[in-house]
Amino acid sequence: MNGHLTPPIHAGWAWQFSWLNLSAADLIVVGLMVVVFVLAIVIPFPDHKGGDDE
Amino acid sequence: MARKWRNNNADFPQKPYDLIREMLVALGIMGALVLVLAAVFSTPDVPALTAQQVARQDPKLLLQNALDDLSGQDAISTYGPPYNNSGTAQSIAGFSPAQIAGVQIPINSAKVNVLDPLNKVAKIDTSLQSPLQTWSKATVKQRSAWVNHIESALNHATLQHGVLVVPAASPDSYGPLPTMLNAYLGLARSGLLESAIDGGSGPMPATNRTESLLLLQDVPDAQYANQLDMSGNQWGIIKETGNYPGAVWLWFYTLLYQIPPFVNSSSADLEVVLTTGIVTILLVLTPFIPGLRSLPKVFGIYKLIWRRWYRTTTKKGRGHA
Amino acid sequence: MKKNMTRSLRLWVQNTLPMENLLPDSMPSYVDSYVYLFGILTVAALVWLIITGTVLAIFGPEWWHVSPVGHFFNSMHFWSVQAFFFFMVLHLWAQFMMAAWRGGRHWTWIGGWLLFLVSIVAGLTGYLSQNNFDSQWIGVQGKDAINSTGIGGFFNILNFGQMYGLHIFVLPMVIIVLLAIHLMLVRMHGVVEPLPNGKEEVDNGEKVAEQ
Repeated sequence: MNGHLTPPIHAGWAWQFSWLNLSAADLIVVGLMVVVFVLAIVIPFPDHKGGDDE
Repeated sequence: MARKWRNNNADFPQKPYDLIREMLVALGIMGALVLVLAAVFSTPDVPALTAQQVARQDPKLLLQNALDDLSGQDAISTYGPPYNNSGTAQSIAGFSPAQIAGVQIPINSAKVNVLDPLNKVAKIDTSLQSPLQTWSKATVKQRSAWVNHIESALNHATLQHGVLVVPAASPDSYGPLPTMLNAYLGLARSGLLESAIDGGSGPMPATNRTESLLLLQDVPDAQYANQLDMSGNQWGIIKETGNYPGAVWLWFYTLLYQIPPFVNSSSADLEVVLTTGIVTILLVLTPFIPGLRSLPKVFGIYKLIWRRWYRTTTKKGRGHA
Repeated sequence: MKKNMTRSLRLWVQNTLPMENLLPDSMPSYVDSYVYLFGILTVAALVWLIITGTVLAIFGPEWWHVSPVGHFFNSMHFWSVQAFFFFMVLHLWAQFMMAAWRGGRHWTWIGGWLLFLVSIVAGLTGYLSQNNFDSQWIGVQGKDAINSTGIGGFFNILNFGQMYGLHIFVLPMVIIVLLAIHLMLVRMHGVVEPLPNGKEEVDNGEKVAEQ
């Protein structure tokens, strides 16, 4: 009486380490957040020096 | 009212800026991003688990579910508030908000999930009327004897052409249950069970599906979710079906369920919600909490963010005021 | 003499939020980093959430399950949600790292947190409005936490009609009101000035701003 119910799709790949179980999609999102945050700090913002006449 | 609001931004050296242009550019970029992500990745839409699917893929599970409902052994019958008073509400040191709020959505699983739907069927299939009467007239002791007998026979029972055949026993040991269970199985197979549960109030659309959602909420839903990697100890609440990102922003709340002391607690939900609430309040009140509000200074990320400003101001000396 | 309420309101608005502060055409030159864009990107994602959500609401909650066009709008709505939280959390990180609550800006910080919390509830009600296994499972799983707090009888996450109504009207309205207040507070106070680059204490007072 166990495991007869079958969903139409399979679970995505998940990373499992002890009690930590995160799906690949979630890990990618978190990784991207860190990357975007670091890049936003590191990349110099375009300088407006020289004036903008609008 | 006398004092004019002082916004000290004007005291600093200025650079040109166009708020409306920035908003429009952001809208354009975001629109393009969302359009591309939607076109490339689409979205998951795994249909809800239905009684019909359970009746087809694992009929005995559905029957076991019904027997649990009939004998009051299902998870909802022993849940406590807001559904009934027969379970222990979660509490911390005697404090139980659920108990204080009381029974707001009374649910009687046997009646709502099994007997009421069967009574509706009995109006069409009159041969069901007498078994249902036998059940309703029987004593509680008699009913649980029938349920116990058929439960122990269920493993050896077979389904022949969709009809449950239980091993022969002394004539009365199963009571009306074989007839009732077969009718129930038929109702589920027809796809009308959920509608029979929710649609009790005439032609109104069943926008409140609490009762039919509670039908499969324990074992069937959990079995299904487990195969999709979405059960509670798999951090299910932040996960989306398939290969899609879910509610990642709930990570702290979900994390607590996985670790001591919450992981083995019988009041885990209440403890996790309260802990998350307290941590949230601390973060909301960061500006007033010494130590916490000085963390940005410790991390020093601000030195990177404002590096060009610091460079120009140290060159010129403080450039404002 | 009777006070003229209309005039009082006008003067208060003129004093607290003069037009040149509300719609600025210049910024202090320390506003010089991409981290300042996370806020406006969050607002942009919210606008797309409202646009795609409006289309989904017009055609009804069943539409996206049966129509490829509906499914596409659902996909845009889904990815707008991801972008919305993605940039909102980055905005939160950036504001924390800049200690942006300084100089009397604590209400802006608190309001931002309220927006985050209401958005989480909006996201939850959205998940519950999907009418698929995701919503079914989140409903039956999530009910235990809500019930443990005692509000499950009033905020019943298994009640589709209630969740749908909250999701398409009540919560978006609350978010829009909170956002309007948040943006007005930002424009009233101006952008937070850089932390002193020396050894001064970080505190909530105004003294940091004065040198």
